[in-house]
Order: sequence, then structure tokens, then C-alpha cells
Amino acid sequence: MSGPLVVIGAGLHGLVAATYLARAGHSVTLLEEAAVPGGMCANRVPISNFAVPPGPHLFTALDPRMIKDLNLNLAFVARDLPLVGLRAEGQPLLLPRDVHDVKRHLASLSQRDGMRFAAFRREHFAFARAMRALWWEEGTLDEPARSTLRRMQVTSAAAWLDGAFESESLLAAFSFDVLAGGLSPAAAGSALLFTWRAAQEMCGLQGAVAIPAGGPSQLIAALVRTAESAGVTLRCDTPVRALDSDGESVRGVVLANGEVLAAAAVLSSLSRRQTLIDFLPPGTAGFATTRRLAKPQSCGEAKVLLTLSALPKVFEQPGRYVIAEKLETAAGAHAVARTGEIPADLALEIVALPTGGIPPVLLSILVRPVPVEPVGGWKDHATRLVQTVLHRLELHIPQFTGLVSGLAFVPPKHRDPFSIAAMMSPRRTRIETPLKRLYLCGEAAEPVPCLSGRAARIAAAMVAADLKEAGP
Amino acid sequence: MPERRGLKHLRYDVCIIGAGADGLAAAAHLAAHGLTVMVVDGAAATGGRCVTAEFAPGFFASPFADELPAIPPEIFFGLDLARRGAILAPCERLSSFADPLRMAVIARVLADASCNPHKPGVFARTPAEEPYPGEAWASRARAEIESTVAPEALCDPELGGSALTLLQGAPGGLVAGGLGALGQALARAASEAGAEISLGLEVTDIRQRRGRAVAVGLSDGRECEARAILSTLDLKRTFLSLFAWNELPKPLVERIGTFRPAPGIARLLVALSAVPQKPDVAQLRRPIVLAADPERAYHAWKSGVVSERPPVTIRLVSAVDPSLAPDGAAVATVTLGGIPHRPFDGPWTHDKRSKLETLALALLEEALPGTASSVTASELIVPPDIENRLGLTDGDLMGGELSAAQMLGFRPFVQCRGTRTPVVGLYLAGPSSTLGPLATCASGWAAATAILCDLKGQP
Repeated sequence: MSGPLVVIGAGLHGLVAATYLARAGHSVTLLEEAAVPGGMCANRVPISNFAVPPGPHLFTALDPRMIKDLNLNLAFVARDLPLVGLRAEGQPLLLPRDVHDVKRHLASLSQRDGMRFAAFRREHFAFARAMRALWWEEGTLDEPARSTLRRMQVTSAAAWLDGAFESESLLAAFSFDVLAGGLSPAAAGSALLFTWRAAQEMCGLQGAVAIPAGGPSQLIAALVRTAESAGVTLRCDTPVRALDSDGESVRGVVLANGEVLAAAAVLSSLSRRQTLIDFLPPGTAGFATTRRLAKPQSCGEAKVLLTLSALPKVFEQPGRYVIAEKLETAAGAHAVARTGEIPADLALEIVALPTGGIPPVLLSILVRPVPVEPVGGWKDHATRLVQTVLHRLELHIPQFTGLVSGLAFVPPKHRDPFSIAAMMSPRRTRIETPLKRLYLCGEAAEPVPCLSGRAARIAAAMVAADLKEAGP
Repeated sequence: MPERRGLKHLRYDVCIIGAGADGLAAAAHLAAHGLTVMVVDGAAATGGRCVTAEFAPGFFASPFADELPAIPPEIFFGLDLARRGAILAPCERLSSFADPLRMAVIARVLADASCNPHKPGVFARTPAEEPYPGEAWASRARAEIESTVAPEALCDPELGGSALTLLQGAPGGLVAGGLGALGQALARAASEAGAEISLGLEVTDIRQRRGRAVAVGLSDGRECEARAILSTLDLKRTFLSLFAWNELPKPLVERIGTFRPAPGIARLLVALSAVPQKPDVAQLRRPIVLAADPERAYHAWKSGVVSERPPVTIRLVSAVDPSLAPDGAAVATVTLGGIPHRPFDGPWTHDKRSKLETLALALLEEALPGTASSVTASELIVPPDIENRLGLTDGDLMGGELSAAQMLGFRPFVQCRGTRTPVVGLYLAGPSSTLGPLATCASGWAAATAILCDLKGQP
């Protein structure tokens, strides 16, 4: 074949891309900077007697084709987790996948919203199906989808939801999701981002909103097994220092120890910024790209982990629990976070996981919106943030603090600035880079940053086709 | 319906609700083309926003704005406004980025207005819609382009989509004698063309027959039949208060209910016993913009609070037009942005007003040191006052938030873009229509173009 290929980063995306390429008959080297593969899914954060991954605690969009192609045989602790909005008073609001159930749960709050919800979902579903042509396949959009897309790209998520529903509790339950991507819910286009997220869940994809048995690291373990049996050479503890390029195309990678690996093509599962700015001489990626990537995302999500000596009654029903006051305040909170302060009204997403050991329960809490780089660093702010989170939980669960036996904090990750334009560009533009033979296959290649494996599968297919075309 | 004897039966080609700049421009354009036109306004004088009042003996100011967005040249000359008394003092260009875009949008709306949307034939294909000019700006942030934010177009400049607020506020220049002179010039243009203007007469409702708006009910009990009805009120007032609640389709009412208001403004008109001094006299003629934190002010407005430092524009209007103040005295206006229509803790009270007035005077003192001692009279106008006097919902002069979802082809909403509304026979101009915040008179002109096209089959 046409020479060896290099994939940078042995996270979920890197592993998937490498496996697909190896199966297509290429010789693939997968480079990982850490001692173990997994990236954001590796068990790296110590808490009590356990270690948990720093990344998201559940998968919302695992690619069903990837799972089938790679024979992953995943077992799930829970699938199609309902969204549960905890309310200050009254029963929690349960929003399962089944529309009729949602209608029933909403009936007590607002008859109108109950009726609306089904239509809202149908609309999302149709839109998501139409958008496949743009997001994941090669094709063109039909006219109705195009006009919906044009409307979405100017609408803010807050206005979108406000127009759809009237019940405060229902809107509050969406508060966490509207803050996705570090985008303000009042920004034009955030409706599109919210819809994408909701569409992922609704399409009934295998493993949508699911927790694999044994946590995300089990998925990584399965992927590593598949990759190795496909013939991928996995090299851990091998940080990359730079990409070897002649200014136009990439010829290989330079490792931190000085070793140069020649490659017919390089796939990076790292962020666009790391790949194009940190690994290349200044100016190689082009002025416009450099300028766009220069300013990192200012808002992100932090993770707070708590081990509990017992499972509070509230969390007995499996689900992802959202604690948020109001949807209206989310935009204000985002504005505060953008200035580098910790906002007072945070939105929390909570998942309770059984540990199978002692202490028996792990509470994984994602907090949005938080500044990526708070004024004065994370040192003092981390304590304050954890205290705020505990205080919020205490309000909903009496004597909660007494149950906590251990805690850990993961600050937000630096990400590429998220742009709505990327969501509307065809998939090829996300995967290709200004340099020839350099491709992106990680979160940067997804329409929206997420762990799905889909972008990696598509990138691998694209690279294989490009190499075939270039000839031996 | 009971027989109303002794009352004249009114029948016109076009009935225009509101005698503001848009209504009068439309009236003049339609009457000039031979249609019979009646303009109805509840106020005692014509002009709408274009009025100038004596707020203290000898001191005049335009209460709602010092200057309006520019009138497109072809409309200005078409109405022959200069000869009718609207003499504009040339203004300094603040931003030139949005000018070409504004022109393109105006051209697009006028082009859309002058082609009759025929009922598509059975086998007609719906053509792919041409993108609206400026859609590429819809996801950009204002902060990328310009750092200052005018009080009238307050937004969070860091947010995607806020770039479109730049379309608002092309300065039109100050009118000699205040905006009232412009209002009078427009009224003259309308009545000279043959339009009938009825003042002090409110429209109570719009009546439909067979799904078509055919008449308006007037407050004196008469009914005015019209082949076309043009409303220059804002969107919510037009649809939610002029129609019986069950007459419109529910989705339309719900859609209109979610139309979002823009941050309001407050204005303080100040009479000064002495002309403030500045080394450079030309400096006094220019608007003074004080540094502010628009982001904070915007979010404060969202939660119903007046920001400690709202964006503010101060203008010594008498420096440009000496006729507004007695000799040796001056008139200043302070425009504050981000003023809630209803503060979080209840309606505007005397206390809250005087607090806001103190803030405005402090800002005036900061901009023009030494003015505090020469203030002889002042008048504060907050959003509820604007609502009472102009009839704009929430006292929102913008007629709806200038967010990307409510601008260009999305203003007020897709089915109502341009000037034709989902109710056949009813046309919308004024602040909520596409051209409302972009230019003065242009939305009325576009509506008139659409009506001419629909009634006479000609542009």
C-alpha cells in the first residue's frame, strides 16, 4: 500500500480512526502522549479508592455503525436515560424518551406544553434526519430543511425554547443542555446547537444517553482490543513535538525524543488549535485560521465528583438529573462566566453511578457555565465552586453534605472556539486542513464537539479514499 | 349590526393607522398615485415620534429622539421634504460598515414589495429562496466590528448575532427646529397629495370578512371600509389588540406573543440657563458618548434593573439648532440605554424616577462639567411614558429586539417579512417591520409600494 499512516492521540476518536484504517489494509501507528490510552475516557482522576475519567460521564451520541463495524459488544448500565429536572418544590419533572410518557408528566404542569412537546420532538426528528446530508453524509439539503436551518442559525436557544414552551420547570430542565459548546444560550445559532444535541438523543441511536457497564474506560478497553487485533501499532508515552511539513503538505511527525516518523498521511484527534498552531511553524496554517483559533473558548464545563456513603432517595430512578433555577438566567450566568468569574446560578447535570465497592455511590456532576480561565486561576475558585455545588444539592436533598466521603474536581478543558459556521459546513471541510495529507479526526471534525466516533469513522474512510486516488 | 343614522359612511381605498413618519410617507405616496387615503391617529397632532415640544418655557426638545435613522434619498426627494421645511443639519458619519448592507436590504424589501406574490400554479415549483442580504452577518458579534454601543441599540456585543444591531442608527442628521419640523413637512406632503388625516380618532379594531381585512372600527363608532389597511403600529399592538382574540389562527397569535422587545431607553431633557463652555466649539455640536459596559447593562436590563453605568449619549441640541433655546441658554438631552419598561420591583414610581434623573444629571455633569449648577428645568421620559404617548408596546421605540432572529428577512417573522402580513389586505409598516429600525419613512414607502402593486397591479 501507500506507506505507513500516523494517528495522533489514542482517545476514542484516535482508536476508531486507526482501527478503520488498519482494517482497510494500511499500516497504522497510533501515538499517545499518556501512559495509557483513552484520553478523556481514561480513568485518570483519583477519588477515594477509585479513579474516574475526566471527560463526560455519559455518551449521548455513540455512532451505531461504528459499534456494529467494530463488534464492540458493549453492555450498558443504563440506556436512554431520561432527563430529570429537580424542582425546588414538588415532584421532579421526568422527561423520558417516550413522548406519551412525557405528555403525561407534563400534564400537571401545563396542558399546552404536553401537547406541544410531541410536535416539538417531531420537528426535531425531521430536521435531524434532513441534516444528515450535511453533518454525516455527502449530499444536499432539501428546501424545507434549508429554510429551517436558516431560521435556526439566527435564533438563540433561549428564544427558541421560550417560544415553544411556557412551563418554567420544563425550561429550567433544558438549562444545562442549552449551555453546550461554551456558547451563550442568547447567541444567534445556539438553537441549532441545542437541536443537534436533542436530535442525537431522539434519533434513538444505539447508546444515546447511555452509560457503558464499567464506565467509559470499558469502551476504550474494547476499542484497544479491536485496534490491536486489526494490527494497529499503539505507542503510549510517546508525545508528539511537531509535524514534519514542507509548508504545503505533511510528511510525518517528529516525536518529543527527536525520532521522525514518516507518514503517507497524518490524522490528528487533538483539537484544531493544537494540531495547526502548536505542532506547526507559525504561519503554516494560514492567517485566517490562525486568527480564528487564537482566542480559546472562554466558557466551558467543570466536573465535580463526589463519593457518597449511601444513595439519596432522589436519585433512585436512573436518569440524568438537572438542577437549574431558570432558563432566563442562563444567558446572564454565561455573561458572568465570560468575564472570568464564577456565576451564582449554575446549571448542574448529575449522574449517580454505583461503584461496586466502598463507598458505594459515585456522583458525577457537570457544571456549566464556568470560565475556562478564571481570574486568579483555579486554585481558590475550585473550592468556591465545589461549595456552591454542595450548597445547591443540600437545598434539594436535606443532609446531603453528611453523605459525602470524598471529592474531586476537574477544571474545564481548553477547547477550540466553537462556531455555528462549522455546524453548517459540509463534513469534508471539517476533516481536511489547510495542509495536504493532514486530517482531523477528533472532536474538531464533528459538527459539534462530542464523543461519538462518527467523525473518526468518516475521516478514516475519506483518508483511505484519498490515498487510493493518489495511487501507489 | 344596528343602523347608525346620521353618520357618514366611510369608504377609502387605503386606511392608514398612525400618522407617524411611516404612515405619512405611505399616505403621500399612495395619494399621489390617485388612491383615496385616510390616515387615522389617536394623538392630537401628526408626526408620531417626529414631534418637538416645549418642555419648559422657551425651551424646546424632541422628546423621543434627537435624530432618526436617515431617510433614503429617493424617498426624501420623492416627498420633496426639503422644500416643505425639513432642513437637515449634516451629521458626522459614525459607522460606515453597515451602509451598503442597509441599502441592499432596503432595495430587497422594495423589490419584494413590488412583485405580487401570485398564487402558485398546481405544478409550479417553489423556487429556492434567495438569501437575504446580510445573512452572513447573522452569527457575528458586534464587538468584532465596533466597540461602542449606542443606547438605542443596546445589546450584548460579545454575543453572536449582535453585529446586526449596527444596522440601526445611521444618523439622519438633526432637523432645524427639531424633529417636529420633519413631522410637519411629512404631514404637509401627505395632505398636499390629497390624503385625509383624522386626528384624535383611535382605531378600535380591524374587521375581517372572509379571511380578509376589510374595515377598521373607529372610536367614534363609525366604520371605515378600505381595500387595504396599513398599520404603522408595532407588531403586538397591531395583531394582539386590534383583532378579537379568536379571530386569528392560534399559531400566528402564539408566534406574535413570542416576539421579543428591545431594551428601552430613557431620555432626560434638560434646560440650561447658561451655554456650557468647551475649548473646541465644534465639540459641543457632536454627540458625546460616555464609556459604558454594554454587556452588563444589557443583562441588567434583562433582569429588570437599571445598570449603574448604562450606555449614554449626551447631546447639546441647541448648539446645532439655536432656535430650541432662548438666547444665552441651552438645551441638552441625555439618552440612557437599557431602561426596563417595568423594573423588577414594580412599576416606575416617583422615587425611581428621581433616582434615574440624578444618575442622568451626574452623567451630564461628567460629559459637560459645570452644567449641574445651570439646570433650570428638566423632563424625564421613561419607557411607560413612551408607551402612553406613542402607543408602542413596552415603550420600545425599536419595535422589537434587534437580534439576528428578528432582523432582515426574519423581521418580524418569516411569514410577515417585507410588508405583507398573513392577513390578506393588512400591511405592516412601522418599527416592527423589516425596514423599521433601518431607515425612517422607508417601511411606509415599501408598504405603499406593495399596496399599489396589489390594488392597481403596478409598482
